[in-house]
Amino acid sequence: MKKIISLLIGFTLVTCIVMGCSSNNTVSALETQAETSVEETEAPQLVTAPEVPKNRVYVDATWVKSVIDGNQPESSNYLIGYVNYGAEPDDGYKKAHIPGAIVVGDVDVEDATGSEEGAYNLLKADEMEKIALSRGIDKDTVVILYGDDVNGVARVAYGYLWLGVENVKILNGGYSAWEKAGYESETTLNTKPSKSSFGTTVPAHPEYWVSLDEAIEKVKNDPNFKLISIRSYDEFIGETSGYNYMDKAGEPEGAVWGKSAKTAADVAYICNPDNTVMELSEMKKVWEDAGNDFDVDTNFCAFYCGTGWRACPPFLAMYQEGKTNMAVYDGGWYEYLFHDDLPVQVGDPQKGEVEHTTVGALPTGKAAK
Amino acid sequence: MMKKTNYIILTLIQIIFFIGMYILDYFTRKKLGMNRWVVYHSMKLDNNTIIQVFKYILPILVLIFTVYFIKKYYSAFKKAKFKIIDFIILILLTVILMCVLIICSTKSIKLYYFYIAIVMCIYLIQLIKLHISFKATSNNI
Repeated sequence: MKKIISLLIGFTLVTCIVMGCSSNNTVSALETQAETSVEETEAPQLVTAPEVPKNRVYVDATWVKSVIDGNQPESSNYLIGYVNYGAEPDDGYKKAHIPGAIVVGDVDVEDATGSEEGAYNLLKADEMEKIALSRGIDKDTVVILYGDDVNGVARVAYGYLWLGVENVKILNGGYSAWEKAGYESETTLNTKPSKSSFGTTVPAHPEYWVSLDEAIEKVKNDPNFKLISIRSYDEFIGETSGYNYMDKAGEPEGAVWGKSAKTAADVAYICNPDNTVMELSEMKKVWEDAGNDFDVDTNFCAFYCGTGWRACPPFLAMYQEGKTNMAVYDGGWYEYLFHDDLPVQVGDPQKGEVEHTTVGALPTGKAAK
Repeated sequence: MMKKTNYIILTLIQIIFFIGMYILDYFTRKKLGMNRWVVYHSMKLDNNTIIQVFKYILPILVLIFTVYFIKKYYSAFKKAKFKIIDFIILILLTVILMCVLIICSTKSIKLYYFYIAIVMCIYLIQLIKLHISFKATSNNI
């Protein structure tokens, strides 16, 4: 037995020595290779692009690259954020990301508990501020966001604008647009130094956020206020809730439909085939062609959906046109469901096929499978 | 031989349950829809009176069963020391269940109810395995 143990120890020691020597050799070989690669590669071409207005949100890959290359006014103070679900880097980030990008979770701006108090709404301003500062974001930081989910990225952008970040951009088309442009990527896990002061009272733009009470009151009393559902048609008419965690379907009484989503997970009708979000003028055409009952030029438009994600792209489309007659009713259908006494419409008001009821009287079993 | 086969099958089922716990945790952290589905059902269970009452009864039942099985089968296993691992696993599972049931909640563990259900299944299978081992040991004595 003692012989066997001695042999095992000896074998282990020899293996460690051999592996240690091999790794040193491997490192040396890689270093030589890297040096050779650097010598052989041409100096990278720096990209320039036209400047964009501060309130422009959706930008292309060339503009982002020009920021990284130091050719924009924004180049002096910017941060690139890869938006993923949760706070940890996901596989998309780990596989490849834009050089210098840090991870920004959707939970940086919104509640993750789903409780009646939190309801997946935007965090309290002081909580969001603390997290933003820890990421290295203050009001002057130019935040450039991108990610796989058009709505998720828009959600974080909306949260930062509400908080008070003055210049928020979204790489339109996500990482695919970056890849198509042929720009380099990296796999390093990046972080930025935190900041101590945000630079303004938060939230700087409370007017971008409509509460449940405000939505109910304004729909009843303000004819110019439009509560616009950015949900799929089946969700709007009460065929399905669209979500596996909401078992009742319908819409707040007085809501109008804005044709934007095919399902609970997209805003396909207001996106181009390459997954870039449309300009407001193109969205208007979609809504007009569908006979939707609101006007982005004259009405106050409070967009909503299930929990506030799909509502954000149309908000941002109006924001970047310099409009101020818009907001997001953050609670959406999810928060509405917590209150049995609230009035509900089931069906399509424009077709005159509507049932008026309350949340408590709605049948269950409408959760998405 | 049949009893040994059953023992192995039951052990594999326990391993599958453990893997299931990991998979559930992984997708809850990675997938928004999965996360919110878990939150929704956890909230429903939090508001279910029967579940809440049962949550207080369960630790007592688990403790009683564990003590009973140890008392009943331990003397038989003294003679077959390699089966002591079954007792160790039983005690570990009991400790885990007691800790999770008494100390934790959905606030500390998102998958609270799901973990309890899975660990309970593993625990009950462990009791069955102990019974099988006891029967096998008794026949050999």
